[in-house]
Amino acid sequence: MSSPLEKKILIIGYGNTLRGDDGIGQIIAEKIEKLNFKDIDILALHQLTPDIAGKIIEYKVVFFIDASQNTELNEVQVLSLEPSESSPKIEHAMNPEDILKLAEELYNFYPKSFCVLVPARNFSFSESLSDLTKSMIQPAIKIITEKIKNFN
Amino acid sequence: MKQIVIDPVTRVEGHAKITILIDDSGHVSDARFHVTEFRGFEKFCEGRPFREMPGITARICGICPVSHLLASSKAGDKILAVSIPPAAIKLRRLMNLGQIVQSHALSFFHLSAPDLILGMDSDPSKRNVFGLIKADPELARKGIRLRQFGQEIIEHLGGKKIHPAWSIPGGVRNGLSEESKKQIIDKIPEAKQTAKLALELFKKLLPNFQREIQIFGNFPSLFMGMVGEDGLWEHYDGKIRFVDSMGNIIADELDPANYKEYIGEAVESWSYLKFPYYLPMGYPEGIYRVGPLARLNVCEKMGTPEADKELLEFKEIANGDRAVSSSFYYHWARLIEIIASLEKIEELLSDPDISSKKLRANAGVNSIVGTAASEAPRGTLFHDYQVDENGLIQKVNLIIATGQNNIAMNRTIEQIARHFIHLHGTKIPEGMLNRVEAGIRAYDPCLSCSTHAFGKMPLEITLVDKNGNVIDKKSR
Repeated sequence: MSSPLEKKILIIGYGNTLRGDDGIGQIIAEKIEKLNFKDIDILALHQLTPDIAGKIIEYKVVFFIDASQNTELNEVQVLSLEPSESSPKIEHAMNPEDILKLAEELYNFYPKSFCVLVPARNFSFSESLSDLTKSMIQPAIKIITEKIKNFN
Repeated sequence: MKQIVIDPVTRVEGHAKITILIDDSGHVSDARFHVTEFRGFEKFCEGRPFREMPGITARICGICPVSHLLASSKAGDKILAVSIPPAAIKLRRLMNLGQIVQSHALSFFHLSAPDLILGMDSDPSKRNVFGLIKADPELARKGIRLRQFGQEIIEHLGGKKIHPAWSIPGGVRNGLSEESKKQIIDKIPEAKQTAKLALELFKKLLPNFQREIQIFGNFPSLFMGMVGEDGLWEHYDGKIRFVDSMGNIIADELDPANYKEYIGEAVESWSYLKFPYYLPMGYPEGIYRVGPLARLNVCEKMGTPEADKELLEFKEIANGDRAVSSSFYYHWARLIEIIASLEKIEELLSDPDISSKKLRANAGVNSIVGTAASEAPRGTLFHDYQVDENGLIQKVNLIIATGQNNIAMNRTIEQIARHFIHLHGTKIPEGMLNRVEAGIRAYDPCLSCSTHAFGKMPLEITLVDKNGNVIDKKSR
């Protein structure tokens, strides 16, 4: 399946930067933006909303970077994504699979997508990251940039 | 006494649960819309420089960051005690109109349209945006594009990342480029067409919802909102007006900075959300509603041709002289506000002032108090700051729109539950659950997600007796 628009790569980092580690997706996305990669667009968002489905269809490949809620995860995990199998209930704050499903249903297309899960421990009210999550920033960037090379 | 708990409410921003208290005779004695997440933003802000507040408070919410950005920078203007340049005011207005369009589009097309188009009693597993796509894919696509249009206005002004404050105490950081202006203007016709299509569709569907009109918050209350000169619909800066259900203006020309003189905040042990009320009438008699329905009830004109025509028709629901009382009509009011916003966006973009390079007034701390309000999509939003001589925040009070509808939302649940429990005893009929959820959704409450949701959020209903024993549980 190829993008009707044949555009490049989109990296979406999302989460709440006032909730400690939850904001790591946005932080990593912004750091990648500063690396000035050619043909890569970056979005740093609080949460995923339905209109993102209209955005991702412009791209061949999309990465969703998020804080993992799994407190046993100790290293960055990259998962290949497919659209949700069932119809999700929540539309204000959707997950990446829901966005792919929405894109598929609305536009008969969804891009090749990956979820980059970053270990996280602290979701309480704070603007700082836990040591573990902070230590995962560079590994996450390295993994994403390696992956990007495969698509450029 | 038995309790029916609906936990959590789906398709509502944030987390909440509902408890319906049933007395021994099987009748509803009370209904409670619990908000269980304590945010603590006000405390967190203490000690921070007031100039950081727009950027901090904008991060309260992913759906309506602009509302906090504007109310906060307006409070900052008061601390500087400056009049900001006209172009900055117009650009802030433009951003707020973009915010109203995107937020209302999300509410109507993706959260409420499934209930309206597929029907309240349709299969809950299909009564969502995916069911809507199956029923009317073009409408769903148009809804996405309308929300994108509002978002794009915000991005043209504030950049892709809205949180590093574009609107700041004293004005705004950047103007609008000619290229951005052209891109927005080019998309207005399509946005208007979509808004009108949705409004016509809503009016066509209305006859199917006579019961919902009767039981979705159909009771007397006050309505509060900003109005401009001559009672004009206002969204950014105006005086506060209260009207009652008979359409009488009971308070007018109130300064938002003096909100403590007319708004009280009650607290209940079972909710973290406060219960604001109209102070002269006491709690809970001083119940008032805010947001699109209230704004249309307090204003006399929208100030643009198409929206004014629609307002006249809307006010005819209540014979043109009383307030429109059923909260079901929030949906209608929201669509009229989208049309008004689009017309006002067009007006603003043809105003030569908007291209001015004078965008910011510079000053230091000239007042230790800064209190201001603006109209968020969901209603009037107050930011009240006290600072020390260095501009560090000493005290913060935020009165959010959703909080001001708190009493009304509780009464709406009670009204719906009384209708169904009266008919069905203490069983939990599917129809009641659907309508309790839809009744709350009419207000489009934003309980501000602090963490984004992970995976699905199932609907759970628990029946609990007066001793707290679970006697029934249902989940979807």
